[in-house]
Amino acid sequence: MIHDNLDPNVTPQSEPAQGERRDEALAEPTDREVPIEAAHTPAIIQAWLDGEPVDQSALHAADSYALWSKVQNETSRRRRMHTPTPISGAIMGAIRKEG
Amino acid sequence: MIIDRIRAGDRDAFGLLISRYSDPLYRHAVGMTGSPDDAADILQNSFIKAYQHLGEVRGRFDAWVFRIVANGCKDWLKNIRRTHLSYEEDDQPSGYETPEEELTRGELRGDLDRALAALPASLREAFVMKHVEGRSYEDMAELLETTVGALKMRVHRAREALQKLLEERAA
Repeated sequence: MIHDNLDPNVTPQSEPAQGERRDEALAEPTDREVPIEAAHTPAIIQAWLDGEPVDQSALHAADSYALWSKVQNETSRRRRMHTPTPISGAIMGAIRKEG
Repeated sequence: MIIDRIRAGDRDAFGLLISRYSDPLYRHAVGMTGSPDDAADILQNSFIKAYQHLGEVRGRFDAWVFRIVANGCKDWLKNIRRTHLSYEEDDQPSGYETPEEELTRGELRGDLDRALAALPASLREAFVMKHVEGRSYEDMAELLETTVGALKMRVHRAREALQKLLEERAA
């Protein structure tokens, strides 16, 4: 679903028609300021991180499995972050002041 | 329904929208900025902006307010010149058993923050949405108005770049 963004303070974005959407899989990111180097992340690791079913013994034997297990643990922890309580109070206070 | 109540003058009902939608938006802002304080400012300004423009919502409120927050983060990235990162959102016990594990976890936190900060914004955004917010590719495609294939490519690229950066730090 595409939503009109009518907020004048929000950066406008073009909204191409469905058929005109660019397949960015073949395109370079537009905001790349400097070339970034990349490692080879094995396909089985990518599939596992995408939540696809994979062979567990092959997964555990794959290069970089230990690294990505640690990253997964850390991102799982961050996924449990909650909005600090004072923020919603500050928002509601600002809204009430609007009168 | 909630939006109708707010439009009818029940201002306090806006608090329901905040409590329902703020957590993933906060995670997005922290992931993009690396700074809980800046993330809080972006979230606060975004919700106030959403309230002021509530009459313009078309379709899903969460997708609409996500776009405001995401644009706020991109503006922040354009303007900021950071010399260091802070990531202090969590003072709770980590649950790790030994000091060695706690040290390893602390090192990874810092390294991951620095590696994320080195990524182009579009790759960082895709990684954060997938791994920190836990969104499906389909949900990401709807929010970012692009294709699942494009987003998979961005996330895969982000992982390859992060792996390179993390391995270099560990070497």
